[in-house]
Amino acid sequence: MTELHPLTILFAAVFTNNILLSNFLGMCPFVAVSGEIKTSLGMGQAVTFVLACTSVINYAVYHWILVPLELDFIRFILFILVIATFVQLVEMIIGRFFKELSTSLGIFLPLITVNCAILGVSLFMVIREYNLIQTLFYGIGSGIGWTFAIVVMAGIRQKMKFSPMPEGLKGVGITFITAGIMALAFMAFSGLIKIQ
Amino acid sequence: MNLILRTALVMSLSVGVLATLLTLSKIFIVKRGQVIVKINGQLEILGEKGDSLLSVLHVNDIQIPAPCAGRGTCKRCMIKVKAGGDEPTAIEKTRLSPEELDMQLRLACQIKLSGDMEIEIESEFISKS
Repeated sequence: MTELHPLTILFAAVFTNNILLSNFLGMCPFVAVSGEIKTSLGMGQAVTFVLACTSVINYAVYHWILVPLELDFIRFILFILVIATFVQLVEMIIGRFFKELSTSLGIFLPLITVNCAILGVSLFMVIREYNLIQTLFYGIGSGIGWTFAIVVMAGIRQKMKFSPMPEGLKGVGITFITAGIMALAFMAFSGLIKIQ
Repeated sequence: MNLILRTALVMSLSVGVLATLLTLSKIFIVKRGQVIVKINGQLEILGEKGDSLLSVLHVNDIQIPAPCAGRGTCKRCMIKVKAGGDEPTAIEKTRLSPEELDMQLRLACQIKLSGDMEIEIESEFISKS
């Protein structure tokens, strides 16, 4: 069992072990939905909500059902099932109560299901042997970290629209280069806290 | 043997519980109800709220071409919305030019029915059906 304070885990998940910029998980929506700050913020909120909830549910499923029954080898399938169900629920709620956000997120909302950051957090929670509170803070922190990275990227991309650049680099090309530079910048935080 | 049984039991139970949860949520959260789609000012068809316009047209035998199967990539299901309909989706904004969006042109595959609407399509699709 890891002895880290939950707030330390939260801070580490946002800055030193940012799920997107240090593990490079969840790159697909990061590249696809980072065109506008408003949309990326909406996507980030949805991902944070799903991350926080699914990590706790998956913790319960893993430690209270799979481990006692010695069935931890089916955790991948069950985690994905839980995530898929939860994303469907979130999609229904956003579609019903936040029509504008649902329209702007479009196809990327159901695609949260296959956002590997979500499954990644559930699997890291198992590998790092977090307890329930640590898992909750890790889920929230990873969501905030992911949102932070995508919103910063959206701001940079909005500014880059008016910058001169070679034709071949426009769009995804320059986005990947920017993501790499952002990851290097985030490495500056890495000495602060060390979690696995 | 015991392990296989346990695995099967846990998997079936989990799928059952999650499927029930989703079905119940769909009943209580998603707004259902019928909407009327008026085509070219002459034909009226009925559709369920939340369904895609393209599928409703196809069910009513109005075979608008959609080679990309409703993914919003081929632009072949372009129609004109005269009344009703939500804001264009992110996919439509990338696929359609600003001029096309100003002319109220939309992709039928991306429109989810939320209320009564009036559309215009090429008359040959209606006469064929």
